[in-house]
Amino acid sequence: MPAVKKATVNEKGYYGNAIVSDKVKDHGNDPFVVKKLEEAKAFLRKNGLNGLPDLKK
Amino acid sequence: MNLERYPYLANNNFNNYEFYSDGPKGRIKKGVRFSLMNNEPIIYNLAFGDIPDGTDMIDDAVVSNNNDRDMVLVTVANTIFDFTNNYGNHYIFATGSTPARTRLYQMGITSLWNEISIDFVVLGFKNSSWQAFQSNVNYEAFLVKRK
Repeated sequence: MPAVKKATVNEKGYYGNAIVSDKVKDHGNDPFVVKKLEEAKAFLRKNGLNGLPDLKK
Repeated sequence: MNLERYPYLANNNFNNYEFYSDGPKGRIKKGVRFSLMNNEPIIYNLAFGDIPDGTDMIDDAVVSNNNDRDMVLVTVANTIFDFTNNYGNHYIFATGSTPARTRLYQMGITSLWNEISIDFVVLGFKNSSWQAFQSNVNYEAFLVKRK
């Protein structure tokens, strides 16, 4: 697959150029993804958000 | 981010992304999955890894070393644009599976900082608090948000 040299701005004015494909499966239940999510939640429970700016945004 | 990246695919919900890394080890399929991990404030977890042949599942146990770390990182960063275009500009949480992998992410962010800092606020967790990213500090985890 060739490299894309530069990202372009889409019609919304943002970068991001994903090509939508029904061949991309949902990885939400992959064991690694589930494990990472649980670890991330545990990290946040343990450490909180101290120091995080603009919490309400 | 005006940096070289791989073309990438998204599913219809824009929370799953796939692309191929090309390098000395060949063509390696990569996957990114965003999952809601916190509601107040809204934070999504970013899970990223290889999709080994025949598995169709993301797994970061494999160390592919395909000599394209920065290009892979730029591609993953671009998926954040697509994701947040569809889900709102919320924080994205990311950490490696191991301290070494987290360090690898940090080296990549440092390497691309001039470009990344144009588009993203990056915070690192260290000494019990979230701090503005500095290239010479080792962090336990990262929170990324578009500017």
